[in-house]
Amino acid sequence: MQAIIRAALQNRLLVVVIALACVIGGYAAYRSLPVDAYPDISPSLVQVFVETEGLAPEEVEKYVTYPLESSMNGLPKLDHVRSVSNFGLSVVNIYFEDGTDIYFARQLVSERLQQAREAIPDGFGEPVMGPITTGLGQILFYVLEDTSGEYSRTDMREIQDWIVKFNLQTVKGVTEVLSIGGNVKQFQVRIDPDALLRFDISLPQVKRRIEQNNANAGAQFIIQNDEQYIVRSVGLAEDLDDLRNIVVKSADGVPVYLHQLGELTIGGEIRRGLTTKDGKGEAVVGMVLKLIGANTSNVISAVKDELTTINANLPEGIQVSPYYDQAQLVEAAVSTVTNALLQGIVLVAIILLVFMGGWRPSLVVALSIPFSVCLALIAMKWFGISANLMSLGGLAIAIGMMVDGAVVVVENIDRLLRESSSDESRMHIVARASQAVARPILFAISIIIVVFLPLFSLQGVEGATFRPLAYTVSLAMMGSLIFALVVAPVVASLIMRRPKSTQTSDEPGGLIGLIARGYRPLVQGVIRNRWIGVTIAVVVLTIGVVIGPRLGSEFVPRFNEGDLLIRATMAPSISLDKAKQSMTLFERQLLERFPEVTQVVTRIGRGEVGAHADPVNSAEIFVGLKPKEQWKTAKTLDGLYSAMSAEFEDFPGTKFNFTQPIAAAVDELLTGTKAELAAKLFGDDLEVLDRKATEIAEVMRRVSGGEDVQKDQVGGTPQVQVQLDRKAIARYNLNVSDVQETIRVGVGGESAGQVFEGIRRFDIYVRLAESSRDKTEVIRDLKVRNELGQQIPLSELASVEEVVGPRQVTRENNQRFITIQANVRDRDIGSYVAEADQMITEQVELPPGYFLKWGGQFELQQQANKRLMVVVPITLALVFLMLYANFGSLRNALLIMLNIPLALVGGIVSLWLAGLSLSVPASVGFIALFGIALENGLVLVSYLNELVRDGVPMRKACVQGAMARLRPVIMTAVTTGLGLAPLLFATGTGSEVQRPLAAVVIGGLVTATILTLVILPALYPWFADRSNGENSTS
Amino acid sequence: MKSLASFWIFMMSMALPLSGVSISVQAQEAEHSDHEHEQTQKEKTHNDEDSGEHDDHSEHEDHEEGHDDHQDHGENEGAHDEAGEEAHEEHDEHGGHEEQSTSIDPQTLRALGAEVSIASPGRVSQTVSLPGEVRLNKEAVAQITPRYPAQIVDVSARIGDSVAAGDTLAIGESSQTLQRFSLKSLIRGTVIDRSVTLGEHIQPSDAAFVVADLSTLWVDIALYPRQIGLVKKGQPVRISTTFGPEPVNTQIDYLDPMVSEQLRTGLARIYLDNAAGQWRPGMFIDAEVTLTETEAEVVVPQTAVIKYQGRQVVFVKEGDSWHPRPVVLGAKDRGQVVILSGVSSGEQYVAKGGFTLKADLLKSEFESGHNH
Repeated sequence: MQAIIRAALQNRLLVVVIALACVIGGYAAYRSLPVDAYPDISPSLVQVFVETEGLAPEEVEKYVTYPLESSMNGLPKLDHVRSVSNFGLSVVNIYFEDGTDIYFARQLVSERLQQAREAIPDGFGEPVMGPITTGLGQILFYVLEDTSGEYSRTDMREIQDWIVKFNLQTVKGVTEVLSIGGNVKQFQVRIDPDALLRFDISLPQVKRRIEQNNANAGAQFIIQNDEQYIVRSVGLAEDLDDLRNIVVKSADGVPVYLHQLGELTIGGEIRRGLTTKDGKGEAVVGMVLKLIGANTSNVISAVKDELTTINANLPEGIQVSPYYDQAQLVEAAVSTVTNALLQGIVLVAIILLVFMGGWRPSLVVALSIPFSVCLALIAMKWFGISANLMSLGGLAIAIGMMVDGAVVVVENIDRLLRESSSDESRMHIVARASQAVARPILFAISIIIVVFLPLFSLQGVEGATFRPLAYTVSLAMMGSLIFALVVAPVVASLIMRRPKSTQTSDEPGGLIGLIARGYRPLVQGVIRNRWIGVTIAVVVLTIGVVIGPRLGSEFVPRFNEGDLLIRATMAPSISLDKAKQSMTLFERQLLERFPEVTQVVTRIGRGEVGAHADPVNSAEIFVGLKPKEQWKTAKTLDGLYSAMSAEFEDFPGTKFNFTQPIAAAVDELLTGTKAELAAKLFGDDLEVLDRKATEIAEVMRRVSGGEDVQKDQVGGTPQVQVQLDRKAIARYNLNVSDVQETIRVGVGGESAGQVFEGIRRFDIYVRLAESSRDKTEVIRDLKVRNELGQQIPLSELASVEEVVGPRQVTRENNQRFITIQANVRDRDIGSYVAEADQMITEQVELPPGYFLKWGGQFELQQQANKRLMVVVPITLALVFLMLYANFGSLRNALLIMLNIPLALVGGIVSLWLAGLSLSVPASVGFIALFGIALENGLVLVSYLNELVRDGVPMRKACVQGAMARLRPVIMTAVTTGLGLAPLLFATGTGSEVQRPLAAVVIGGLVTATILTLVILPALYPWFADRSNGENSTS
Repeated sequence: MKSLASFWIFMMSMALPLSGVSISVQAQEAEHSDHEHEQTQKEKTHNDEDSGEHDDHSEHEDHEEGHDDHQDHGENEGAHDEAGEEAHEEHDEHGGHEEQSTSIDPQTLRALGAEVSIASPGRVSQTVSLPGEVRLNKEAVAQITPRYPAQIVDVSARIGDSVAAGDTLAIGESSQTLQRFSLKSLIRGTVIDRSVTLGEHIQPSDAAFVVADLSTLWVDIALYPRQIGLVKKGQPVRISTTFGPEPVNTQIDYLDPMVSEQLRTGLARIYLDNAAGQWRPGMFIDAEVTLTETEAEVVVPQTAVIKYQGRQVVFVKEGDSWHPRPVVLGAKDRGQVVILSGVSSGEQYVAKGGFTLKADLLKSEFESGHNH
């Protein structure tokens, strides 16, 4: 270490140049860092979607989900596979271990998809992977508006799909644009069943005829007169008329045209979702998804530029306008932290000026901030950590601590410059002063870094949220260490001067002098009466013990995105039209009753598959708000939430959930239950599962402590079930497939090729006319044609019943399951689970192959606890070891560890005073606090040791040491505290996440500093290394 | 949260070697949940009392009152009651058939497309729609054949001519006697076929002309096995066609006692009056046969009947709220259905859009409505 300092001082120019390079590099890194609002807490997840038009959940599971799932077995780094088979859609979520590279994971999945494709029967859909994006990826939503009123919903959707989306997809950083709403243009052939009878033809035959009469063909080339002519046969239908005139059959030389069989029109595809706007009906909406790792702000501005260009080229009267984007949020979040960062820097600089007395030493110390920050930024760039609320927040937290090392060095240089004889060269003094404190600084800063270790062990959401913070704090601290040991001595030697009037007194003037004058009698008194010190310590600890349990607890304080998203859930069997009606009414009422609402856009169900797989009964409502100053109902977003929530509590048949866009998107990806406890019953038969789950729920309700016990609603979807009568089918000389094809094409409809308009392509969709398939009764009347030309009604061949079927089938690791959720009150979950499990074993008889698994948050908590149980003691042991290594004394190390509980109390009290809860950020604050408290103690104890070793009598040493270390201890505490103060008082976006952290550190610092200065010297004699002290006194 | 708490406890106990006190962070909802618990308990007893009493109507009433009490109580209680309510409804699901109700103001109900009517008597006709074809009335067709083998020497009638009985259509010369004789129409009608040409030799077995009386036609309706027993002579029929004359109301005139060997279908026939000549043989028609007609005390549109918790219900107004009344359904036609029991005449019920009410009742179960 000495060598490093010496080398640095010998190559001053080099050090200065490298330092400057670091600063410039840091700035460059900051410009190019991906900027997000929030760290990405999405899991390592690859989603696979399969759309299977018209298939019921059971069939989706059997034909699609199962082969997909089983093909994923045994992938490296696979965590688990979970799937949902819904009506017409299979979603398989493949979760990889935390931290798995997403491209690697996608590659693995894509290889297996090849196998899966072969296993899925033809015509049951193609598996596609979800877009390469995350929960934070939905960066911009826009709506197409038609001011002229001339365009139909089909036209609007065509413009969206083929102009707007088409162009946006080419923007760099955009991975996908998803459309929803309007009607996807389709050439519809609506067949009149009577016409089929009349002309004696079957529906499948019609479909085949259409397919056979719509194609282009190539026929190589011919040579005429030495010239080569390419032969091309053009038979593609180009418009409705071409389709109308397809000859379906001819009888006695009279052609039967397609148009004779029914109606041919341009219509909309069957849809599973739509969007509405402002209570005025449907709209067309696009969702822009960002590629993983792209710079959100840049992508958004590029998308907006592109939208301007697109707007200029759209048909008159149509306009694209974004209604939600993350740009403001990102900007606000980043500016909240950067403001806090800048304010912190200013405050710290002022403190330095006040305490150091003189701008030269202050400057040296202050320089450590840009240096450390820039070094951290370079490292962030290197490690691929994005700039966001948490990572920049880490820097803001560290500001006060960054200067600590430099403070100690510079303070020592300053003191030695003042005290040393004038014939010693400045360079030499600087070297001597730096070397003297190098070791404690190294230890102190290392301890701070080590203390942050437990944060790295956090997993899941907490991990993803706070790991960036731990990274940046550690990186910045390393930067400050380098600065303190290498750069600070160099800069000090360049700009620090010998004070002109050397003060002989060891009591400095100014503010510190004032404090010191009050401090001296206090510390002397306490040292004389050690029991006072002990009593104070015990009292303080008792306060902590009393207040601690009063604190509420929450997970992570809600991050205020500034945008309002309402999630509506309707009855599971609701139709799209009914949902639209309900939501339109809601939009109208919202606009009427809340004057601050400017715009409402609602998405019902799902559009193009990719971002989400919402069923028709769920809706997401984006609410545009006026600027806060113009609000009338409430002043805060929370107030508005509760006002709206109260207003719409009784809205018929719909439950509303007030949330925020990013939070909602992330929830979507973090599947699994939100309740504390989830019992998962695995088994094969859905009915048995449902029945047994009901019994289990009943038992769980009876076990004391079980609250909000709720079984998954798996059933409830009405079905029209056509149960085929094989004998009857055989009697009529038919095959099962003939009957099913008629049902499939007739009721569900089927694509019979495409019509091309340039590059735009549209399906030809064959289906029965609506009135012939819209009721159970009429489905019974469907006619199936056999080879004899008989047209047999379906009711002769099958029984057509209305039944209630499963709504969805959920599976995990290749097995069906059903969840029973519960929250546990007034007892610990472990004992509840033990009791419930035993009671279930006794009272519920599970058939073979059925088993119950306990999980939920509870599972995660246990895992987290287990990890922390190991990591925290290791960390503390490590810290203790480091202290021991530093002092070579167990007693000293123990004395310093004593700072931890004392600091803790301050943190608890300030949380309590601020009305905040115990949360993950607060815990992070405590961790930071430990580091700082230890550092304080370390500085003091090492000086006391030094004095004792120099032969100063114990009691005098205590007083003298305390006095001498007053300035650095107070300075490090005040800089750290004030560095954080802006975070405590910030009100911008995202400030709520940092506030508990700042409160804990500031509060803890107050108690820790006071106690370090008062109690530590008092207790020191007990903990001093006896042998050392006696040796020196003798 | 709990992880945090215990992580905390742990940290503190690590960090408080001196105090030796372990701190437990209790869930703060303690008092709140007590309250909830009480509520749930109350509901449970309430339910238990009621189980198995549904058949008895008077008991039923009592019980509803009890329920209403609870509702009022619930509204006053505010937030706390919500959880209780939820537990309550959940219990219902397992306990079976306790009645629930919901009150949505009429205005909102209308805005959501619901319609309210008053139960009244009506008539329901059960119908079946069958395909059929217009044919010649075979009883009013005459084949005009020569008496002897003959050569045609003159043809006077053309296809489409209206002829009276006795009108000469053509003149033939007997191949044996060389005597001329007339081929005369046997009936009044329209010449629909002429198979002779001038100079042609024809045999007595060859039909020279077909004259049909088109003022009556047959409508033949194919009956699938299931319907053979249901369609009876005299049942009213409405005949309509996609492109053609106005629909006609008539009745089944004849049922073929035989079933087609090839097609296994039966046959019903209508003698269709075609004095105006607008129906033409070969036309494809749709015959809607009224199988039964029922008069009933209460007839409601089929849209009023909602499937709720596995039963057919109609939402009926009682006081200020809507109750899902289980109903027994009788005969139904295309749009209407007879209510045999469950709703009495004069009561207000939701004729259309009852789904809104059903959805509102199910609201407490929506929590898991989300996909994941």
